[in-house]
Amino acid sequence: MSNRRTFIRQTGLAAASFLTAHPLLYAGSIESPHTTRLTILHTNDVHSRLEPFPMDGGSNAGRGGVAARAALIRKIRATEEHVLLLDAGDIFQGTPYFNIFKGEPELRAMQMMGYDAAVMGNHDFDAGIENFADQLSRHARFPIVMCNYDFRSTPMENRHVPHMVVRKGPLRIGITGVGIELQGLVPENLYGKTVYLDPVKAASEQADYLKTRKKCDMVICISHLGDKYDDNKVSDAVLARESENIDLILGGHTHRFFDAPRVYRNKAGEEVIVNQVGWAGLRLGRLDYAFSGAKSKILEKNQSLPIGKKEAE
Amino acid sequence: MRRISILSFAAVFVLAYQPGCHPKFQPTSLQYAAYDVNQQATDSAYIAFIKPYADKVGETMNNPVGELPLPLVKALPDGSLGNFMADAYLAMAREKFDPSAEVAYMNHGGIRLNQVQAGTLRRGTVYEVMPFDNLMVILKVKGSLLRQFLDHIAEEGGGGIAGVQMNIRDKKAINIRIKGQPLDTEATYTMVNSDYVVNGGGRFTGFKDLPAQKTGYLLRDAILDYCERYKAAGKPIPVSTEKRIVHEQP
Ligand SMILES: [Zn+2]
Repeated sequence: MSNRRTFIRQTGLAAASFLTAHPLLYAGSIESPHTTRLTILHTNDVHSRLEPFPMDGGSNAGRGGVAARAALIRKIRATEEHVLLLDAGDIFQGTPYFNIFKGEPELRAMQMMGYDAAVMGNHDFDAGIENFADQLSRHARFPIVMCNYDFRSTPMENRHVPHMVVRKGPLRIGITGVGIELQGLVPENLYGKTVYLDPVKAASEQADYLKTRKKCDMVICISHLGDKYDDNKVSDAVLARESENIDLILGGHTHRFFDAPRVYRNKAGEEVIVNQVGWAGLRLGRLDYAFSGAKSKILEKNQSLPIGKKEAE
Repeated sequence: MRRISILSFAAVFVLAYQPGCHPKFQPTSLQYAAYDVNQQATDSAYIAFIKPYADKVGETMNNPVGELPLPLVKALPDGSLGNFMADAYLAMAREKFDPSAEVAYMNHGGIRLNQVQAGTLRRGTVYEVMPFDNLMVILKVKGSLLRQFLDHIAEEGGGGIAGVQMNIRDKKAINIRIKGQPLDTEATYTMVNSDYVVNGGGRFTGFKDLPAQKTGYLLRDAILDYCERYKAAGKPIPVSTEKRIVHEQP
C-alpha cells in the first residue's frame, strides 16, 4: 500500500521535475536555477531494535526504536521533496523479537517507513539464507541490492538486484551494494551456496555501468564491509580509495558512530564520502546534497565538495 | 553575471534535449546531520504495529532470572560481562557434561550488549547479550594447541575467559596459568567452547578437526540455567571483576 503510494508520488515528481529541468522556465529567476536537493537518510546495524532501549539507567536508555525513527523520517519527508532511505545491513538479530519472529516485524517496519533499498549484513543470514529470502518475499517490497554475492542456486537468486536506478526529480541516482566475506564469520550452513566476490571489483563494475550506461548523476554504494581495519582487510576506506565512479558509501558492520562523514580520494582523484551511524537504530544519518546542472557550477574533478554540518532546526 | 547564467542555461538546454542524453547534475555541496533517535516524538502507528509482537515477547522475556549486585561490562582485554558468560559456560558444562572441564571461552565479538545494569536481570536481556543459537562444545585440547588458541585471543585483543589467567605482550599470550599453574604444552585440557568458534567462526581453525563432544546445549540456556541456580538458592548472580587478561606494557 505505502509502496504503491510512494511509487505514484515518485512518478508524479519525476514528471514535475522534468519540467523544472527545462531551462526556459527559469528565465525569470537567476538564483541557482538548476539546484536540486537530495536528502539521503540512512541506518545500519539496527539489529532487531524495534523498541527503544529499556529505561534501566543505562547509557542508551530510552533511545532508538521504530516509532521514534519513523516520526523523524516523517518530519523530514514533510519538508523535503526528494528523500532516499537506505539501510546498510544487519537488520536482524540482537533482541528477542528476532529469536521469536525471525525478522518479520523488522522488515514490516522498514516497509512502512518506505525504505528504498538495503544490503544484507552477516547477521541477516543468522536464521539461514532461506529465512531471509522468505521473510523478504512476505514482508518487504524494497530491493536488496548486492553485487558481490553470487547468489546463483540460493533462495536469494531472485530476491536481489546488483544495482538499481532511482529517479528523484531530475536526478538519476544509481545504487549498488556490497557485503562482507562470509567464510569464517557466518556458519557455512547458513549462507549455503552464496559465493563472495571481490567487493572493490564488483562495485566498481556496477558503478561504471551506472555512471556511463545508465547516466546516473551520482552512485551510492551501500556497504556492510566495515569502515576500516588495522590490517589490509577490505573495508569502506579501501573501497573508497581503490574504486572509481562511486560517490558515496553508506557503511555498517563496525557499529561506528561517525562524528562527520569521511572524505577519501578514489583512483581517479575524485572525492568519495563515507558515512556510518553506529548501531541499534540509535541514530538516523542524514546527508543533504545540493546538485547543480549548470555548467559553471560543476566542480572540477580535483575540487573539494564543500561539506558542512547541518544547523539544528 | 547574467550573461554567464544565460549561457549556462543554454548549455543545459542543449544537453537536455539531445536524444538519449541525460542532463548531467553534479553535487555542489553537502550538509550532514546525525539525529539521535530519542522519544521526543513517536509515531503512534508504529507503537500500535509493534504491540502484538511486544505482548508476545513480554510473555516470557520480562521474567526475572536473577539479581546482579554489580553491572556487567563488555571490555577488552577482559570485562565482567565476558567473565560472567565464560563462568556460566564452565559451571554448566561441569554440572551437565564433564566435571573435568577447566577452561571456557566467550569470543568478544559474540557479546552483543556493551553493558548490563545492576539489579534484576531479565530473560530478554540474556537474549540480547547472547542472541545467537550457538551450542556448547567440549574439547580435549593439548596444551600446545591451547597456547595457539590463547595467542589468537591475544591477537584479537582479549575475550571472555574462565579458568585461565594470562598477559598479552606484542599480541601474544604470555605468562599463561591454568587454574593457577603454568600452562603445560604436553598436558591435555578440557575446554568449553561454542560450535561457532570450534567451526572456525572466529578465524581460528585449529579446533576444526578435533574430536569434540557436541552437547546440543544452547550457550544462552547455559547462562539462563546458571542464573537460575543462584535464584533458586536465593543468592545474587556472582559478578567477577577479576582481571584475567592483562596487557603488559613494553
Ligand atoms: Zn552489526
